[in-house]
Formats: sequence, structure tokens, C-alpha cells
Amino acid sequence: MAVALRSMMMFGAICLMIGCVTPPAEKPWNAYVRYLGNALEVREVRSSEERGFVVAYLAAENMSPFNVKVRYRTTWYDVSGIPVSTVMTRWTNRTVAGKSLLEIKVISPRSDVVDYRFEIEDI
Amino acid sequence: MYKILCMLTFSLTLIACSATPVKVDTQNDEAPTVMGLDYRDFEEAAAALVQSILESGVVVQPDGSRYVLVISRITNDTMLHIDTDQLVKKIRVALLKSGKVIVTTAMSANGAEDAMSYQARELRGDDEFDQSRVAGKGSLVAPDLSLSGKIIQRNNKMNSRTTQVDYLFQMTLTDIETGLAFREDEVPIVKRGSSKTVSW
Repeated sequence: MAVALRSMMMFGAICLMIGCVTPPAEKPWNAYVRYLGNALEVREVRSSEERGFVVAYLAAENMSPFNVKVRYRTTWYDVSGIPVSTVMTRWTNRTVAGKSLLEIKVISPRSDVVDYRFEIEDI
Repeated sequence: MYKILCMLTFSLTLIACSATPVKVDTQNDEAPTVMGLDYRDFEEAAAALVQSILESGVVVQPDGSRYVLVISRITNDTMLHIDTDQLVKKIRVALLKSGKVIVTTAMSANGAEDAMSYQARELRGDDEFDQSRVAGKGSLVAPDLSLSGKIIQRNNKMNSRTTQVDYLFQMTLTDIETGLAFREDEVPIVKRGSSKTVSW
């Protein structure tokens, strides 16, 4: 009984240690992408800073063998979490060929932007 | 009685058929496009051109200060009666909001865009005005960059019933000191529809 208790405590301590040393998980894609359809599968979302502006990139694959018509837009947020009003946040239509990649690269309208969301809708 | 009822029904039908004006939600307008150019096309072109300018990095000063931009000639080479400010104003607003560029209205390709900058200077020496508040000589800021462009339209008949209209939004950002085009881009907006639809 004492051995079992000791093993459990050691296991718990190891779990705690692992928990402490594991780096925090990156935000999942769904934190940056809102897509309720099922034809596309998000492959990659990443962002970088270029000359003070945030550059965001999204790649999503059309899993079906057929053309899929979608529209997308990117909303940018300032440090207060308020959407930034800009002409660059607008719906854009795209036709994604079957089994091919939809790639979107956008740049923030201002340098004080800290967050963004891609919205993709099937049309 | 029957006649009155018939007339009332007819009147109600007429009222129901008349098109009631509706305000368009410009953030989410799903109405079909037109063969000409509407506000959505200008927004699309402006957004693409602004993205092109910001991506290039040519408007980013190393010391964080702003470039002064002057709006040069934007030519409407289409068959449409459009005001090119529909495009230019959106680009100007977006560049101003970027914090990297400020536009001068003291000059443009056709003289001062806002003549008041010069008219207010005519108050120099006028005793009726507080001279300390009148703009002094040498206070206008000369531009660093110039924005010029052109909107082109080409109609192509695809068959007896279908016409394709190509609209090309061209833009050049010139460094005034050197005369070199720092950034050039072209945004095509192509429409295909009935040949019966007039696009001018």
C-alpha cells in the first residue's frame, strides 16, 4: 500500500514537473481562423512582423476534387481588442480548384495592430 | 361593396409591388455585381493597392516620421463617368491611417487641391487679422512622394451574347527627389455578362 502511494506521489511529481517544463502550447488555428464549412482544411496560419506591420499568412487545402467558391476577409484588432476600421477588411471571393491550396497573405493596416482573424465562408 | 373590395385589393397589390428603398449594408453586400464599376470594385482595388504599398515598405521612414504624399494625375480611361476620387480617397484614408504617410492638399496635378492654403496667405499685411496667426513664408511642406495612376477599360466580345469587360487599376508611387517609381502595381477587375448590359 505504502509502495503504491509512493509510486502515485512520484508519478504526480513527475507530471507536475513535465507540466512546468513544457512550453505553453501555441494558439490553435481556430483562434485565428473562423471557418464553418467543411470543404477546406486549414494547413497553416502564421504571422510575422515586417517593418512594424503584422503580416499574416494562411494556407487551406480544398480536400474535395471539385471547385469550391469561398469568400474571406481579415479583421485586425488593436491592443484593446477593438476591430480596426479599414478598407482592407472586406470580403473577397475566390474559387479554389479541387485538391489545391488557397493561400492568403495580408498586411495589417496599421503598426499598432496586435491580433487578427481570418473569416472564411463557403458561398 | 364588392367593387370597393376589389379596388382595395388592387391598391394593396400596387403598394406591395412598388420597390421600397432599402439601405445597403456595405460591409456585407451580397447583391450581384454590375458590369460597370460600383463601390465594391473601388474598395477592392483600393485595398489591393494599399496592401501593395504597405508590403513594399517604401512608405516606412527609418526614423518613424511620415512621408508627405501628393496626389498627381489619376486618369479615367474608361467609358464610365466616374470620379477617380472614389478610388483615390480610399487609398489616401488608408495610407493616412497607416501612420506612415500624410497627404498634402497644398498642391496636386491641377494646382492646390485646397485653395485655402494660399488664400489664407493673402491675409499677410491685412490689419484686420492677427498677423501672428497668419501662416508665414516657407511653412508649407513639400511632398516626398507622388501618387499617379490610371483606370483602363477594355471590352471583349466573347460570343454573340456574352461580353467581358476588363478594368485595370494602375498605380505608380514616385519618389519626387529622384523621379524614380518606388512602387508600381496593377489590379485587374474583370466582369463577364450579357452583351445587352451597357458598361458606360
